[in-house]
Amino acid sequence: MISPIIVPKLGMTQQDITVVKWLKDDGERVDKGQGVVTIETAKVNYEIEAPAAGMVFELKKVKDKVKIGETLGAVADSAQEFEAYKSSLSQEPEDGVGLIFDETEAEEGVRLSFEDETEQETASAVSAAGLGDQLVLERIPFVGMRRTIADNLVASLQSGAQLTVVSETDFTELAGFRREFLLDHGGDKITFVDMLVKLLASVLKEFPIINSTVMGDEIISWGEYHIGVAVALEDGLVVPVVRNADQKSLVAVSREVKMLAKKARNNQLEPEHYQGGTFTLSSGGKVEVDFMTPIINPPQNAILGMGKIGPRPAVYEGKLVIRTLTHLCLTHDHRVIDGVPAAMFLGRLKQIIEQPELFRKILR
Amino acid sequence: MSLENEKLLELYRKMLLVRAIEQTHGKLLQEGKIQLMSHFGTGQEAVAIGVAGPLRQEDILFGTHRGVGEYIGKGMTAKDIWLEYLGKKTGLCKGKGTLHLCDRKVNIPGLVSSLGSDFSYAVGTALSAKMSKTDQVTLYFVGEGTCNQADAHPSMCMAALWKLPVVFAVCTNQFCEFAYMDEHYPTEDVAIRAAGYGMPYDIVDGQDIETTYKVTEKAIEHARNGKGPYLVEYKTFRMALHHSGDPGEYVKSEDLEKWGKRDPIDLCQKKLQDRGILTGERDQELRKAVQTEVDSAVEEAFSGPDPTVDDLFEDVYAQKEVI
Amino acid sequence: MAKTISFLQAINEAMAEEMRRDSSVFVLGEDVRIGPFGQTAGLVKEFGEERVLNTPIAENAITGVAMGAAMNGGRPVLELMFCDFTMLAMDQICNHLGQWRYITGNQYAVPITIRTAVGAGFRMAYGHSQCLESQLLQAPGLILVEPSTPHDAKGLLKSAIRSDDPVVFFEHKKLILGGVEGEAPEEEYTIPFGEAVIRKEGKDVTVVAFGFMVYEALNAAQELAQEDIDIEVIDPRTIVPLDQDTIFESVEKTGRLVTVEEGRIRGGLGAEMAALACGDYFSLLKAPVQRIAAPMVPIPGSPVLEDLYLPNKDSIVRAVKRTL
Repeated sequence: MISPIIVPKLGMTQQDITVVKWLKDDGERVDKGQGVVTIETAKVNYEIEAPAAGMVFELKKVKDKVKIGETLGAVADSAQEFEAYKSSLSQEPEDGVGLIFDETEAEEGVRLSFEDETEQETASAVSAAGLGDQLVLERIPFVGMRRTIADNLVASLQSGAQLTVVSETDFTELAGFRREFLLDHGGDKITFVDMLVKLLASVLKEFPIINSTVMGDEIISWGEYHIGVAVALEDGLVVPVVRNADQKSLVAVSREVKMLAKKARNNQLEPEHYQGGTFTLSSGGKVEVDFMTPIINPPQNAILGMGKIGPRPAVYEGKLVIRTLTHLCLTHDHRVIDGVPAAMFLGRLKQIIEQPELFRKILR
Repeated sequence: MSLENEKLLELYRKMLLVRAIEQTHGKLLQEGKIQLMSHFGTGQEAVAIGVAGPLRQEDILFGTHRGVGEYIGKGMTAKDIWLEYLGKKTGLCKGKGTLHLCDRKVNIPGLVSSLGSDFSYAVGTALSAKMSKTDQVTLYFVGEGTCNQADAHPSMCMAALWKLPVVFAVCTNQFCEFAYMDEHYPTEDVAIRAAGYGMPYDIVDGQDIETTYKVTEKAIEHARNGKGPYLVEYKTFRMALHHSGDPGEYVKSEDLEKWGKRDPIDLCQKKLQDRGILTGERDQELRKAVQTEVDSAVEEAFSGPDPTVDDLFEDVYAQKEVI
Repeated sequence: MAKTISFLQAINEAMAEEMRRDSSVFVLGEDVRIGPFGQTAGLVKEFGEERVLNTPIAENAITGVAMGAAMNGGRPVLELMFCDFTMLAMDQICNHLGQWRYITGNQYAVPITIRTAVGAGFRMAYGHSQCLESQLLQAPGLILVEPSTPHDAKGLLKSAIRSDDPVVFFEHKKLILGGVEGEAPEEEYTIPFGEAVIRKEGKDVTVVAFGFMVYEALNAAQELAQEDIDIEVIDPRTIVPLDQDTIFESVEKTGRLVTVEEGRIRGGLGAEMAALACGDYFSLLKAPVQRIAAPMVPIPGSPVLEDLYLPNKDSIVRAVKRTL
């Protein structure tokens, strides 16, 4: 019996689904429910299970672009059965199939593309620059999640007037608050990121223009506070969203951030986990980054970056001392948000961070 | 029963070290420099050093809350003890055990201060040694007071039933916490209980280090040779009180006087001098060196790093997070 | 390939497979060579008396023996026949077992698995029928597992035996003795701790049920469906760690929480969840939390009284309706 392996409906947009890896060899036996092939969409990797027991046969190759509902391969009882199935397929007209990235052609530096005219231009630019004959270390497919990230970032930079303002902020007192919180909550560990998510949701209410989106000839300020938290993955970046962060307790926000990060790392994010963010937080805390100029996550109008928090020299109460500092970096779309509100927003964040009694009020 | 000169001198030095550690502990308490409660084993040093002495590095020792004798005897250092006693991050137990000393390097898996729960752990470690066919022996060092805990009985029962390589070393110091032994026991000896489980036993003088060492050595070899458990009861006297807050009215002065004449360190010193191993001058040097060792250990421990709030939440589970 | 196994078989296979895999794993307990309920039956034939150890009747001491063996490289699986009997070993379990790693500064782990049978309904009265899981909630350092299906029982018991932390594993007598069957993979598998399963999706009320109570909750779901009430049934599978993410993600959707356990109500598992809900997740709630549990009375011997004592489908149905 033939059981086709079909690209499932993943609840995402149709574009850019790529075959990443066949988990079984051509003709290998599988049980029903075993993973056979991994596909990659703009946001996640997804493992497709065998629809039945039998031998796996591949129709699509690794790096092939496919669409929802398309047949990737099939599970059959024998090779003959599959060949018969394959020839029956080829008689049907191909229906909207994304063109195939042919490896032999790729080696010659030519790649078929169904939409991207810039590629051939790039290829000729590369050769014009005298590159192309050099030793190639690795060829990395510029597709799937990587490609989506790239497209989004370029689109973001092209569509707005992005400007970053930076404020050095003293986290010493908030670190003390964090220590007390840990002791008062039986060891529930909260991070500065968790605290900032909560803080942002609250302060955004005071600055509606920051929590906004441009749609057509309108600027819409949102009455809901869904804070995206950038999570770095081994091979990319995703921004899962803590929804209604203003209404949740700090512990609930903290657990959610951890859960979302875990799902992100395990490729388990569903659309509801990353859609609908109204503002984004990006932390460089785990790497040695002092400050940054984050790029806005469209269609949002602002993003906050946070550098590494650590001991630095500071003037505190008139003396030069060691304090726990970092930089808060707000990139805003100057078309929508003027410099003064941006600076005031940043100033308000700084004020609350430096006075934990104000932060406590937010939690109440 | 005599030991080689070098061995006897080494045991003497260890007894001096034990007493120096405990006396220093008492002094620091008196001066209000520490709060750590003490349960000294003054007068029992020959038992503690004698039972731990014949053990090999890979053998397991469960000790008591009373003093540091058996721990020093098994190879713990004064420095490690003080870092842990003062609750430092660099202590053996990262400052979380303090009096509950534990040192994996010398196979001391820890101490139960509620007394007696570890009776069965010793049976378990011995069971595991037997199952994995090593010749490791476990020595369970215990006071006579703790031998009335319920688990003493099934533990001895299982040790004998399964012929496990474990030695029960009972230090009968005449006191069970704040009371004389005869308020807790209908009999003069504890060891006779071993007979009920078909386990061989000895009752010996606990003041003479050569006796305690030799008889323990014999019991350990018995266990190591697959002949099953052995119980030794050492008769001694607790010259210290139960702990640093004990008013001590119940202790009879004539007992202190009588047992004080047979102090285990004095007895050993006399032996060493009689045999020409130790001169008065060498003895003074030795005592000074031991005190210096303790003082520098205490000094280093005081300046050791304190644990932090993060340490409070670590090591509950194999993974880092508290759940 | 999947196969059908019974709950009893799942427990037995998990132990046998782990004993085959790791020679430091051994089983001990009272009458384990026979296996009074059958979980350990047959193990002695394959692994010999040395690794299937009958012990004297002395729960606290045999727990200590298992702990000592674990400190010295062994991986004991200890059977304490009835959950009621774990109370005889409370000194070891609550004072020392979960605390040993911490108090020794991570020098000594105590990787033991304690298996014990819980649950009433067998007319055995107060001494052999209790569900005392919540008694252990106060002890730090323990993992508490309570599976409801053969699949989970096997995967979780294998994880327990491999865990470097001490695990108490609760087996409900109705699952062991009731011949409950289910599908499980032929091949090797384990299940991580702290991952709940949604047994039935629903949008109206979140019902969190432990162990055998999962089945009562699913029966309640069927009955409520006839009145167009769509409950979500969550089986946490492990009590500690508790999968708060799955539970409160569900409550975020439904706004309503009902907890179901067979143990008693005061200070129970439901009390703990209600406290979480009212503290950290207060804003999600649209109605007061409802706790379904046994009343604060001893388990009576009379069949009539015992049936009245036990929480069941009907009490769950009533609790769900109280939230709407």
